Amino acid sequence: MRQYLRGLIALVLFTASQAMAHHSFAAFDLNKTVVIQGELTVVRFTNPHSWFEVKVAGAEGKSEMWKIEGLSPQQLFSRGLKRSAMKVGDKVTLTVNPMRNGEVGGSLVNITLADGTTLLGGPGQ
Amino acid sequence: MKKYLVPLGLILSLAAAQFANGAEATVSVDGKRLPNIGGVWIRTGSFLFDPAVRNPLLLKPPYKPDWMKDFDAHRKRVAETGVNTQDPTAGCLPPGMPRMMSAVYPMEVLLTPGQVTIITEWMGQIRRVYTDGRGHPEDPDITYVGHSTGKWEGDVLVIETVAMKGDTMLDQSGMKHSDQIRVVERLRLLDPQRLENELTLHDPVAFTAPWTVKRVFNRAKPGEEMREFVCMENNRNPIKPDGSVGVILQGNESTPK
Repeated sequence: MRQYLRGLIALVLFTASQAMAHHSFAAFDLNKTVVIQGELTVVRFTNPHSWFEVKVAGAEGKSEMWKIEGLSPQQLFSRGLKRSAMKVGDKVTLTVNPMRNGEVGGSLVNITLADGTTLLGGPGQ
Repeated sequence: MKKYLVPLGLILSLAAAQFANGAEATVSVDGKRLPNIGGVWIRTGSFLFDPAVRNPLLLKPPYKPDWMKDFDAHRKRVAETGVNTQDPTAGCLPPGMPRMMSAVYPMEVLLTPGQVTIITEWMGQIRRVYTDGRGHPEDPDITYVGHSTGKWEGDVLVIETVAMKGDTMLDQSGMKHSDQIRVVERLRLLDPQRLENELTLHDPVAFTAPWTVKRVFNRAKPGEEMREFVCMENNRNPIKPDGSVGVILQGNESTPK
């Protein structure tokens, strides 16, 4: 229950805002969310934004490589993320605002880590 | 009863020599006991210039008619097409004043004799606010952060900034201003953990009247530190040849060891 509640709070926070960081987020479709599940292949805690790549299993044995831009490292860490909690090879579930142009990628909304904890990772505040 | 407990608690916490997170409540600078506005601060409210507004279409800048017409056309286009052509920070240029004071990245305030220094994590910009009584230069250099002087009016630090570049935006919505803009800020502690900045923009070229907003910052929690900012370390959002902000998904595909 608590987890759903947290998810709901994240959703409400997200809906109430369309913010992010150093640039315009117009390239992402902020009215649409996609949930993806897969294996982290790239983890970069860099400014202006964090960057993650996730290998998502698709139909007929083909996989898709999702490329995802997230909040700044400082913002993620202040929301309780530990640097060591996202490693290459981890299984994660991410909610993202997809690219408007259909490319396989998006802007991070929230993350459910390998250990089951969820945190707001995207357009916050 | 409960009503009285809250102010009482506030008075007690203000009276305490130290804040909960260890910062001193007041500091001695230039022979005066001043409210300790020093430390790392995290912005609250919207990332737009007006912290109460989250949708660019709802912003109400006091623009002159021709400026308003341009901005209306721009924000309508962005909302409809998703193409933003008015955000130089995407190309790693600094936000400058006043946009740097509404960043989603933290800022650090330092109080030293004759000077208050504001360092923003975003682009690593530095504002030097001279509190030694000097005025603005007669023929100032025009820069992103401008030239700032400050004076304490009781517990309020009043900062005046002039000589800012005219080609930065007020925020991500693409609101423009002229190089005649003058910014007056009133910084004060609301309580030990909250800093208020009342910003007033005076722009005789773009505006019909001054524009004032209030923004509140929360003191960073223990362990929340400023990070270095190297914009080109992983800028996935460069400005394309047509002037619009893009997203580059390819390249740099590895996790540094």
